[in-house]
Amino acid sequence: MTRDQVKDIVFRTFTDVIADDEIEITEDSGIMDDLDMDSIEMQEVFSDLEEEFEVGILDSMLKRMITIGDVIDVMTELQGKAD
Amino acid sequence: MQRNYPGMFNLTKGLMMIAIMMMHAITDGLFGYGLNVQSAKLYPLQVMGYGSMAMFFMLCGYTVKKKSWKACLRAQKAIIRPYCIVAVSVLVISLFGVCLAQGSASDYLGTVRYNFFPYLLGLSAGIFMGIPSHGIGAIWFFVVFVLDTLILNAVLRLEKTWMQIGLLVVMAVAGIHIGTDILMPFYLPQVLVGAGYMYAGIWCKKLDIFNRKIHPVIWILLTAGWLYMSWKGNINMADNYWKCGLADWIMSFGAGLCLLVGLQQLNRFEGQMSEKIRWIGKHAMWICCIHSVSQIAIPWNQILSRISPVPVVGMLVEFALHFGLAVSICILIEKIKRSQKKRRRISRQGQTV
Repeated sequence: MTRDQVKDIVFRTFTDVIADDEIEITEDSGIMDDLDMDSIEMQEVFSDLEEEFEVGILDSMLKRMITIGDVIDVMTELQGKAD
Repeated sequence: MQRNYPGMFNLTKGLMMIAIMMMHAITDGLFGYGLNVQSAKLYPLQVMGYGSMAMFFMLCGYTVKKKSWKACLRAQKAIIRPYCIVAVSVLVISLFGVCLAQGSASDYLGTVRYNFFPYLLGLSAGIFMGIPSHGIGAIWFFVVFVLDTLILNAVLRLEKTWMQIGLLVVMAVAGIHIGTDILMPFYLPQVLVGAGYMYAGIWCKKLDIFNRKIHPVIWILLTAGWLYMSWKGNINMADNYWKCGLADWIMSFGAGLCLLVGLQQLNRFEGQMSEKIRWIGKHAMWICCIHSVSQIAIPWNQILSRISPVPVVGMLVEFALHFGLAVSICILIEKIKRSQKKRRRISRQGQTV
């Protein structure tokens, strides 16, 4: 899977959970700082991503996921390992 | 500098969940074995208890933001479902227990009244239809969290900060003075008090408290206040008990902050053990639900002495059972949720093809 394909899935997953047209998601959006997500929504989004890519996200990996771009990078990396 | 990242509180939440289960095992044990422990021996427990609820609410307030009402209400759905599942589970297990004990019809009725209606109405501590209803497990926290998130969504619309703080202080004063004489639905006293703690969590984020250098004198003063008030005062938020009234509420902010910042320092540790604790923190919501069911539906204080005549062994067995049940059911729930999602995804793919 290419980075762009991963990006599409990550954007779609976040958009589905946030479900707010007023919030614009970009690669630079900080997950905790810019998106109006609470802890439960965050858990939901990462569980959806795990399911979508059929991978497990360790807590130590979450530390690297500060922006949406970071999420795409980590998921691309995990996807590559799974393949 | 470490920026905020998802799951940054998992270790703290995991440690708190373990502490809650341990604390319930100890209090059940003390009661079950009829032990009258000197308050000096309970002081360490009191110190932890003094700041723990404030810390938990601050941690939950950290991610709260002003949202559209629609988005705010939608986000709460994730909590209401497990709450209802817990209410039904407690009732079913309790009725099963009465059935095993060959109880009378009035026992059944009592179980329904004690375990089900208080849940549905979220009754705070007090007397319900002649039956004493004390803090209903750890799950009361969910109702308070949902209602306080909604309240804060309104409070944050006030223009001036002093107006927001003023309103929250008035609410806390009202909540503390309601006491336990009047039975209030939806844990109203706790809701009124907890909103202030969650608001403090919002400020922790605004002030970037985990990356800011704070003068050691401030920490020393806060810790001294925490230790002193743990001795002089006492807080039991589940039962809305505030020994020193508003002073307890105000001082617990410092205690909660010390505890939160202190526990977050442990976040730098990596390894198998910390990863396992983080897993517990990640699943804190379901673990809290399962623990509530196992705590309320099983009369621990009555059966502990039958498990072992030695109090410490009884307490350890209760803790191990709480912990084992919570973790194993949580793994099961995770597996069920995954297979449901997988099925949905396959059927979605089938429809597109």
